[in-house]
Amino acid sequence: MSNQQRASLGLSDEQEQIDLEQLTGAGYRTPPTPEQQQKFMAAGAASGFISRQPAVRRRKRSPYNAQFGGKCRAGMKELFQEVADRMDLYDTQTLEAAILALIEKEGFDDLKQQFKELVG
Amino acid sequence: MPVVVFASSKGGAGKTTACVVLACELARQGQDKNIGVSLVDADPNQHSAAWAKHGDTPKNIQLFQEVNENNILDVIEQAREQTSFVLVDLEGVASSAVIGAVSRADLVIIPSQPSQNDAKEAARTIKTIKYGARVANRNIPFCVLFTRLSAAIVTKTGKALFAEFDKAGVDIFECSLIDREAFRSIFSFGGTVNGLEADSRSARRSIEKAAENARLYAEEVKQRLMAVMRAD
Repeated sequence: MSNQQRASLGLSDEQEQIDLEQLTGAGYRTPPTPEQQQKFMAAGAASGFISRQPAVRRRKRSPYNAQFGGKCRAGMKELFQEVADRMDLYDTQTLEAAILALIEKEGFDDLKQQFKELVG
Repeated sequence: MPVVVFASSKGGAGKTTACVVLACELARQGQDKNIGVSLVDADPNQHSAAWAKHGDTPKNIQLFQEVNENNILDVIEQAREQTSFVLVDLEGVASSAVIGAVSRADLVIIPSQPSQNDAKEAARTIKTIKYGARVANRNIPFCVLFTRLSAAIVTKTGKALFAEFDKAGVDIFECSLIDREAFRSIFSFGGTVNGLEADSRSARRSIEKAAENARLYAEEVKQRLMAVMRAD
């Protein structure tokens, strides 16, 4: 074998590195203007990139879990729930408040006693 | 300060791995130069945040967690003021949080495994970026990063997808992220690829290859960021 050495292709040399500091100066791009931002968001929404947060307000969970079945007129359930929400009560508490109000209005004292025993 | 966003409307494409690997490499190179990296986790799964909180995270990586569509723009601005680099890990869905982050990006990296489903969602993300950039009259540079490639073979699907992106004029990273155990291990053990312990010579070789992959990937990101800076 010859003692001559072939010239290296330099394939094992490290790839030229960019110093991080070259990228951290103040000369980097400025953020988009509010108008650009708005247009970009609108374009994204048009392409299906929309808000993924739930739009429907969740009602708070109630600790009352005995079933109370029944029917009502269309829309009455939603009206009942709106009353409960405005009073910041669970549905069952609203129902109980309505029952008590009727008992008192009609003067059913015996039922009032029974009511007090149930709710404690 | 450069903002790099990792976006794809496909879950599991490799966004978190690509984001964390880059964060570690930039942090390693910047540790003696007082250069910090913000890691913004805007994915509800919070995998980047979980990695950062696991332990042995480079001290110059600052975590911003539980970021969502309501605060993502403010968080990115805050991160830009606090560190030299901002990396944003996003959820794998088409959401307004993704668009918000992309609108602020100096570079969008779109990870894609060499699979039809990944590539299809990558294409969807690309079309949305291009449309938004055109409407807003603001250039948003982006590039596809192939992830989880086999070290040994190039699949037919991979070749076909690469060719299709190339034919469409889509910018593709020259460096891909190879499927390495080390890139998975950092999420089990925390810390960086360079910090992983090897229990055998072959494990040590594998870690070294992953570290070299990470270094080359980071170098290409820096080159692209430099090109963006010069073009502006």
